Amino acid sequence: MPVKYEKNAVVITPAPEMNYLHNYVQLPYDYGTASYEARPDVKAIKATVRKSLDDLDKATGWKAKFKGQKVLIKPNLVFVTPKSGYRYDYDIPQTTDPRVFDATMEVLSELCDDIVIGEGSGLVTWTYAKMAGYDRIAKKYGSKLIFFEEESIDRYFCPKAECGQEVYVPHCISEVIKGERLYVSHPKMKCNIYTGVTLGFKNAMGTFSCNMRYRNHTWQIDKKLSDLLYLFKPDLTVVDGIIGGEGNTPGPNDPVLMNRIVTGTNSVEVDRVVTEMMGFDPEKNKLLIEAGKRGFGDKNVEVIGEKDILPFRPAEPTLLSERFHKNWPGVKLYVGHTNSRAPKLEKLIGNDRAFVDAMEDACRGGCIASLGTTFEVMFASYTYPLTKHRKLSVIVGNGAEKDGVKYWIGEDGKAYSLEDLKALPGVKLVCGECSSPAKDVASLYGFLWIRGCGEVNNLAVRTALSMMPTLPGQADMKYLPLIGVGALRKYAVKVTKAAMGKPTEPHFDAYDDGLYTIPELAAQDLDVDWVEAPIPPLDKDARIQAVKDVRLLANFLF
Amino acid sequence: MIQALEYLGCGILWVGSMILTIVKKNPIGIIILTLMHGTECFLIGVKTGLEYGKKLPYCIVMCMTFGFTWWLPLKQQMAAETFTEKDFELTPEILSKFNHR
Repeated sequence: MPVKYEKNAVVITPAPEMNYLHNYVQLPYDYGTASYEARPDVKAIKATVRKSLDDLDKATGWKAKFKGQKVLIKPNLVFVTPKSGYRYDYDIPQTTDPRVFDATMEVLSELCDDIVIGEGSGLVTWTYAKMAGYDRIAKKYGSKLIFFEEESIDRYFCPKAECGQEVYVPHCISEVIKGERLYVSHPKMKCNIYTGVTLGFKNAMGTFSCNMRYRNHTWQIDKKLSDLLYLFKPDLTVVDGIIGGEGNTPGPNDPVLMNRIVTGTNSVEVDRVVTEMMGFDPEKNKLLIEAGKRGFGDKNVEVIGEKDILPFRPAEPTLLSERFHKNWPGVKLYVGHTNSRAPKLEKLIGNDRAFVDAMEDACRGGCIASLGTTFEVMFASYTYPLTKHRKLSVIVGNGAEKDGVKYWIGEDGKAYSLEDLKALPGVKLVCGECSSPAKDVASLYGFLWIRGCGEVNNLAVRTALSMMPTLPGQADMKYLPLIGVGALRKYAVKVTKAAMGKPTEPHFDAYDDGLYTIPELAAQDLDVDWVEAPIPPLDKDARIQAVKDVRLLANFLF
Repeated sequence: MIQALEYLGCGILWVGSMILTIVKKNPIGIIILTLMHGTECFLIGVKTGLEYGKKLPYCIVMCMTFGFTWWLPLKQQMAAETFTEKDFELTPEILSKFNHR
């Protein structure tokens, strides 16, 4: 069971005003030496983190609960991209600042002997941990560094969950679920194209295996992440808000000089406070609404410190914004859905902008957000000037119906039939399994029909292909060997474990947007937050299937 | 990218020298590379690598293989990451460039 606090608190601690822009993505070469410890920014960050955690302890007594306990601490590693990776002249603030993480580790190591650092970036975590310097932090504190995607999986049923009822987590998370290890979430303060913001409990997305992760990046992402709180939740949250990240994360984002550390014992409340500090209304954030609906917040939480607001540039899960049009003048969206969230198509011309927006929003968190991320990566790439004016028609959804005919709505408010779409100039990209009625429209003899629902990598690769020539996200060749070795290593570990009957991935069915559901449970099991459901031993055929489930693309894309 | 190309160039030099040694029985390429990299290793390579935090055997292997293409970037990175108090001051340029409190 997680730690029970008599009282929850959120502490906002300002850091001294100074330039923290050195090494906020990668630790310097002299980490761990006297010269590193003497740096003014390092001293200031350490003092701020310590003060925040001390103030939190005074309010909640968290240190007494942690004393002598085993701990799992999870940073948030996405891409680790120094400025040389993109055409910008600053590092990309997507990953928990390793200087801040080191400061938290210093405090925790005074209380606990057994601290495990665990992360699954969804990419090549081994490489990114090395690039950022997390391997050196682990070494300094004698901690084990675990890459979640390489762990064998355990299965749980969450009967109270709305949609994420069957959940597969890495084996080491089982210790957290069963209360044998405390869990510290250490996210970065940043926006997110799928969920608005990505903070304390959204950080749990990184505990999923690749296949679970791709099944979550759909329109149900908010519900799914909130459902995960039935299984485990952070016992302590430390938000790195020294350099925040605004814009379309997990695409390349922009630094915000925020100078704040926020700590707390209830991650939903921490996220609520930080969301407000970033200039967004937590009452309108669907992720926080879903978590609140399930009762994971705490209305009696004490907020210590000034909740001063600095508006972040929001992530835009849309291809219809002014900014998107300015960046990609040749890219046009045609969207049509018949799902329950979509507006009904009444007329074939003259639909207003609100109607087109509502149609696009009918699958928020799915293909559109993944497209937005991919375009952001291409926008930041060195090859952007070569791709800027390419003409591309993006077709999303199964088509809105009127009089038995399928239509996709353009930004001009006009409804386009299949014949109209075929007649469009330039390359045509058809996104999502649901868009199969338009699959014949896709260019390259149908290759640019992106199958799957929420399969981010598949989508990113084909979108990039449709916008050739483009460079991958990490264009600094210096790191390519490390990325290549990391990807091979990850793939080898996963395949070996699957062959040994200890799979690291659940079976992946990308071709519908359904989520794993549970079988019928006994009456006494329906009233609990989770039930352990051990995966039965795998026979030969099942092992072969498990090896196939380690999909090449998901493991090699960076 | 430049470093990757330099490593590639070094690799080609080594392979070329080996081919020369085996096919033409002429070890001049290997001798020159070994002498050059050995001298670099002794004079600056190992010192730079150790300062950077690498282990001695690693420094020797890398410097003997890649010569200055290995140790020079380390030296440049160390220079770039050696800061003074002034580097941590918030200047008007920084404040105007980024969204800030």
